[in-house]
Amino acid sequence: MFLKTVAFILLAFLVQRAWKLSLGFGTSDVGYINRPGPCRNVAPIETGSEDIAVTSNGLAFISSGMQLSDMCSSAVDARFSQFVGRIYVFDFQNSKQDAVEVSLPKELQYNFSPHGIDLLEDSETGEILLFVVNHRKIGEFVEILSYQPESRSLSMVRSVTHELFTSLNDVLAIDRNSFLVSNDAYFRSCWRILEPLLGLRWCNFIYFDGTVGQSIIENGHDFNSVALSRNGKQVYLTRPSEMKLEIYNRSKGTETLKLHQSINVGMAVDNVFSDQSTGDLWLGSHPSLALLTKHLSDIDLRAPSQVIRIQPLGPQNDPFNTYKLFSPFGDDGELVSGSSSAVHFKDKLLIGTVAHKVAYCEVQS
Amino acid sequence: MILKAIVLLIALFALQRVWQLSPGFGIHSKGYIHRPGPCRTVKPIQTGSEDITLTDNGIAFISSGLRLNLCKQLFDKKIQQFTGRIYKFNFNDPAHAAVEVALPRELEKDFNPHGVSHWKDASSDELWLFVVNHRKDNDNVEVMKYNHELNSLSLVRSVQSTMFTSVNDILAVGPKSFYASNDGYFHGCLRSLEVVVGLALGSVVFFDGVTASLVVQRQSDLNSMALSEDGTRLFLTKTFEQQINIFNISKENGNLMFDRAIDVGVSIDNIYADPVSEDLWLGAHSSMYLLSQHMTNLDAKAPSKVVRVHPLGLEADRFESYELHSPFGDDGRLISRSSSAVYYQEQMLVGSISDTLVFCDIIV
Repeated sequence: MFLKTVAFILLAFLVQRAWKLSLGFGTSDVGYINRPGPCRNVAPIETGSEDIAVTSNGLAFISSGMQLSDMCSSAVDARFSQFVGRIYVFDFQNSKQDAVEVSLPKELQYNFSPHGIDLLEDSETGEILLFVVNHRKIGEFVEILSYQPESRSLSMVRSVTHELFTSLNDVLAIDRNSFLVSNDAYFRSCWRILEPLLGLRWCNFIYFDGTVGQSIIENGHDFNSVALSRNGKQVYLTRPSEMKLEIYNRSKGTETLKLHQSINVGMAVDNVFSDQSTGDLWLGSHPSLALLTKHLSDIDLRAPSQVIRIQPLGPQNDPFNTYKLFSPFGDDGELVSGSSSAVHFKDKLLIGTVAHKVAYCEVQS
Repeated sequence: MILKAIVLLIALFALQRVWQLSPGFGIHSKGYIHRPGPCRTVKPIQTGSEDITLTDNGIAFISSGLRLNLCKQLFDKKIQQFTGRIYKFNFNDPAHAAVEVALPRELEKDFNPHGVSHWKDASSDELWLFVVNHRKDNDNVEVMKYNHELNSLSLVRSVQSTMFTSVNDILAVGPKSFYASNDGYFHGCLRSLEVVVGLALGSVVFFDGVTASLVVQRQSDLNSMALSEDGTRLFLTKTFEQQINIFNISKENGNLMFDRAIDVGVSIDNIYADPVSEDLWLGAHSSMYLLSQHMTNLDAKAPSKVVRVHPLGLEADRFESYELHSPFGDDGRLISRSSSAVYYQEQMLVGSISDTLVFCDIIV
């Protein structure tokens, strides 16, 4: 009798987990091709462009070559260990030019597996500071780097690690020394598969003030990408497996976050870009997490891509109170597989992927 | 003990049906907005444009005002007030509104149109319109002659058959002959049971001008048909299964031989085969769940989607490989429940079950 009850509870739990997972897993999702205008790949990027940050002048910094093999190597394509971590720069105002590799500081050569990226522009000096999540062999780091445009190189300003950094994903720069950073899992190894399967909530979202790191959101799972609203009063956070974009009200200074709204985007969303000119949110998304997983286990298998734009229609103090969902770009994986990010600059779009190429599109419709 | 076994079997069966239906049901699907260019509604259509047939010189005939004879008690009462009409739209003069076509007198009081097709005589330019009409008692196929000068239709023949159980679409293959698809058997509320349980009571009927014969039997979920450019293949859509079935047509007797199935990944409705590019254009419902909600309340918007299947295979087997494009998507505010899409010279018309008709210029 007792055994039957246990078996029944286990079955009910498994069914519930399967149902919840299946909604986000997109087993029947197809990558429909649709374009906002002419699109093409940007040379020479072929081994990923996971995240992209853009300056106010349209200079885009792209993190490329994330190795992923530190994240359960048996589950991912062996070729990931051959990927070389790089930062590329692409100029929206000179879009016919290829992306150019930026040289890394000596400490990071052979020690660079970049993930989320953000930047700060000093309005007086014009200095560009890059904040990059780096999955070093020894642990999770946020590298703060200064960009030297004449030599197209990055110099190390500061390297930050912390015991709360378990499996970093994206970073949001606050000022020269402080940032917010997300953990997308607790485990960095193969054990991480247990976390979504069992619904474990062992992730946190961290504020590093320059000296001290602390959790500002705890007991979560699957925190992915983070961005800031135009007025700095709201923080956007993506939750891929729940297909959600969460909006938090932010208290500047203390960096306390309070959940204000949750938008169900209807698809596994990856990185979020907050367009400072329109207030729109642009999301690199995965129509099928199942196909993405297959693509990561064999890079030659294509994974569909999609870009979602959330247009706010609400008042200034609550912009996403009402909104519209657009999907200006979709691909079956031939042009770009596994789109993880999308940035918009003056009617042009740059679309990045986890382990594949980059697409550049003119937005005409 | 037996009771427990029966309960378990029913539960397992129900679970399996839920699993099979759920991708087509799209509970979490959103209607993302995207356009191939500037789009607008076409006046004066507001009560549906379920199916569209397009002549080779860019004249579209649109069936409007469909009152689906399924479970009426569940549907918005406003649907019962709809008036059945045929509209004409000219792609060569797209700024002009759609124009109502005068119906034959016999049909004025008994017209509930669903699928439409046409046949044009290559030499004389005579045009016949074939319309599925859910008359009060039966489903008929009305074969009508179109008069260009008067913009009117005259009834040539009203075809009835016991094989017409629940006709959805029609495909003309000659001035007198056609294929008719039965999307099921039961009318009224029993149809919901038919879908839920998955009864295979649909079929395709071939009428050669004299006799009717069943060329596809014991299928569920059949919807719309189109003909390949060379007339040798028939495309048949299956909505919940999200598939297009391709059949080879026998020249002697019109029989259909199944060739292959294409998975389209979304619940598709009507199909149009572009004779120039051989692309297949489909009206689709990204969420059958929201569609059913819209049926009970027309003010609740339901998303719309157009899919274009572009063949990549060689001449012998054009759809052996293919690309899936989606040139149009809407959250339901411009058009709810898109059921059909046709293409003509970089322009597109999108029809809906009970809502507007949309015209788009294709610039992308």
